[in-house]
Amino acid sequence: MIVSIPSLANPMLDRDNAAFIQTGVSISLAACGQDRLPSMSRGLGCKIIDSGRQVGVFVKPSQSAELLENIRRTRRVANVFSLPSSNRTLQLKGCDARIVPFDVADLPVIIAHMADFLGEVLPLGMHEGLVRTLFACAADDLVMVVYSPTAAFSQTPGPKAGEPLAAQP
Amino acid sequence: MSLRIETIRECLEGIIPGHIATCDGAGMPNLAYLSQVQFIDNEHVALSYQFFNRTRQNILAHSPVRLLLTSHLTAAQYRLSLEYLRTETSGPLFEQMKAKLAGIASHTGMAGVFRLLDEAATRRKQRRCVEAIM
Repeated sequence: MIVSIPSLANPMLDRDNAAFIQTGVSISLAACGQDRLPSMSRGLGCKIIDSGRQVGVFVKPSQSAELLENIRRTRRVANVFSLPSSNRTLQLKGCDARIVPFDVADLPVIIAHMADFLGEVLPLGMHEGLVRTLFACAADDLVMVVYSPTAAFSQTPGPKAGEPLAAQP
Repeated sequence: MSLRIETIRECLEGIIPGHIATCDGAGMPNLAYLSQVQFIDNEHVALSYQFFNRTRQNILAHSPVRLLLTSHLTAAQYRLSLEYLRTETSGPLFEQMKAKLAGIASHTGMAGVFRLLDEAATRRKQRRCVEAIM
């Protein structure tokens, strides 16, 4: 369900949610094939582009061939961000996703995201080595999927899960 | 690579939450987190429904289902391809999942928020239903 299409002057991602998705959240990205079979991969970090009008998510092509092919075909993505310590969860959707080459200048974004994620999950008992394995990547095995969020939903567990969010100025 | 579900049972424990992806009739994907995946046998798993409104709508509209599961022991990731088979709202499987879900809710400090409405048993759709992500 597309709730609304923001104008260029009114990005779907407000300041609070833009800040939220850049914390130590777990990130995943999905797209569907022609037969409606979805595929998804973990994101290794994200980047706010153009004051929140676009979001960039870093994924590893070696683990995401089907996802990336689906994005090339449909350009439609669902992107979930969830903070382990609070279960606050946000889903964004977009219809104009494209795949852009990884810029090594963005490597600090991934490194910082992993550090933030470690800060989230180590107190929950997850082993550091496990997290570092999940985030292990090489610059030549990274791409950024960029899209304009056209809908946002709260998925924080509770009776309001699934409700569309309106961007706050 | 195709694997038997029984070989990745640690991924079903919910220590690292799994993801479920579905697709609506217009081709728009939907993603949600999973509380638990219940192993039934190598052909079947059961998923609990709590707040998966869009997920449930898509499944009932015959969306294929994909799960992304992660081992808390090795960090290995697996994608499972599933199709919806039936919904159960009572019986031994339902009660077993309800009891386990109460434990998860307590563990996460969210008792009273998680509530098992019903559950969907699913079965493997394809021969290559469990795919290891290298």
